[in-house]
Amino acid sequence: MVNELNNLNDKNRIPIALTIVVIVLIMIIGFTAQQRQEITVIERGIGRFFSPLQKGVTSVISTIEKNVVTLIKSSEIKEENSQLISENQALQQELVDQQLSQEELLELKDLRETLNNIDRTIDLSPVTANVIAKTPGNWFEMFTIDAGTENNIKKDSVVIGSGGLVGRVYETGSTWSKVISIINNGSSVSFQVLRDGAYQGIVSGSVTHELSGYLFDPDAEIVVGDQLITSGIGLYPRGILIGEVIEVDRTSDLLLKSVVVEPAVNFKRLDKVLIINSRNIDE
Amino acid sequence: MQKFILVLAIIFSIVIESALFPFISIAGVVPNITMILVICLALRQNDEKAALIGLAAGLTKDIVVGRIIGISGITFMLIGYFIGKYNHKIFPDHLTTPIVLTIFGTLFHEASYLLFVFLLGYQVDLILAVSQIWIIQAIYNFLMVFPVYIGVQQLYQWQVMKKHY
Repeated sequence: MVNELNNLNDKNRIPIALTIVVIVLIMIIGFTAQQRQEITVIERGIGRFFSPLQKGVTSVISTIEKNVVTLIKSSEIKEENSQLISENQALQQELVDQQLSQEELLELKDLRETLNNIDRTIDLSPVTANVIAKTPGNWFEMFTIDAGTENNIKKDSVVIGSGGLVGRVYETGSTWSKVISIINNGSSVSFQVLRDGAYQGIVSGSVTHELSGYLFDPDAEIVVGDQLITSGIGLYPRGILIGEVIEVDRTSDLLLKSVVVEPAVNFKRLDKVLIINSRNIDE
Repeated sequence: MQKFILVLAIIFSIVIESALFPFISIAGVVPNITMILVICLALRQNDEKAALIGLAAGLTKDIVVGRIIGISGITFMLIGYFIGKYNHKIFPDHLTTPIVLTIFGTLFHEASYLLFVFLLGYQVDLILAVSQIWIIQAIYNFLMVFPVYIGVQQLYQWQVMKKHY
C-alpha cells in the first residue's frame, strides 16, 4: 500500500491529497455546524492570538471615527447636549418617584420571601466588553467581543447593547467570545408586548437579518409602534427591550398575527455590549 | 523567511477584514480580501503551495471569525490549487488576471457557501442571495483587487521573497 502510494507520480499525488483534505474538511463542517459544548484547544489558541490584534485595530479605528464625527458635528452635539440636560432634569424627578415605588416593591419582595416563595435571582453582575471583530460572511450575523472565560463569561450568556437585546454568547475562549445576534438566521426570542404583558409571541431572525415573528393569540391587539420585551420564557431573562413593531399582518390562514420588528439595537454600529449570565446556564 | 512573510500577510488580511472592514461595509457586505490575497499569491506559486496557502488562510479565517469551520478552507484551497496549477497558461503579471479570477472566485465561494448552508438545513433565499449579496460582494471584491494586488507585488520585490528554498 505504502509502495503503491510512493509509486504514484507527482501528477496524481496532489489531487489525491486534495480530495482527502476536502473529505476531512466536510466532516469538520458537519461537526462544527451545531453549537458545541466546548471548543478545541487549537481554536482557543488561534482566537487568543488574534483577539488582541483585532482589538488594537478596532480601538484605533473607532477612536479616529469618534473624533472625526465629533469635529464634524460639534454644533449638533452642543444642541443635543442642552436637550440632554433638560431631559436629565426630568428624569431625575422621575427617578425619585420610581425610588418610592421601588421601596414598596422591596417590601413586597420581603413579604414574599417570608412566605417562602423565593424567586430565583438572576446573577446581575454584568460585564462590559468591546466588539472587536465581525463575521465578514453574509450568512451569519455574529461578532467577537474582548471578554471570555477569564471574565466569567459562559456559553449562552445574554448580551445586551445600548438600548436592547443583542443576542447570546455562542463560543468562549479565554479572552474572547463569539456572540450570535437575535437577527441571525435561525435565532428566535420569545417576547411579550410591553403595553400588555398578556400578548406574547416569538420573533426570529432571517437571512435578510430582519426580525419577524408572530403572536400566540390571534386576537391580540397589537399595533405599529408597540414595544416588545423579552417574556422570560427560554434563555433570555424577562424585561429586556427587543424592538418596536413596524408592521402588523395577518398570515394567509388568518390564524396568526405576524409582526415585523425593528430591533432596538443598531447592529451596524455596535461597539460596546453588556453581558449578563442568564439564570438557566448553570442548570 | 518567505513562509514567515506569507503567514504574516495572511494574518494581516484576516485581522483587517474582520476588524477594520466592518466600519466600511456596504449594505452589510464586507470585501473578502483574504480570498483576493490567496488568488494573488497563488498566481506566483505552484499548485501544491498555492493549495496549502489557500487551505491555511481559509481555515484560519473560519476559526477566527466564522461559525461553521471548514467552508472557506475548502473553497480557498480549491481556488488556490486551480490557479496554482494553471497560472503558467495565463498572464499572471497582468492586472486583468486577478480581477477576472477574483470575480469568478467570489461567485464560486459564495455559491459553495450557499450550498453548504442549504445542506446544513438553514433557510436560504437564492434570488436574494444572487441579486443582492453576490453582486455587491463581487463589485466590492473587484475594487479591493487593486490594493491587494499592488501589495503582493511590492511584497515580492523584497529580496527575501525572491530566494527559492
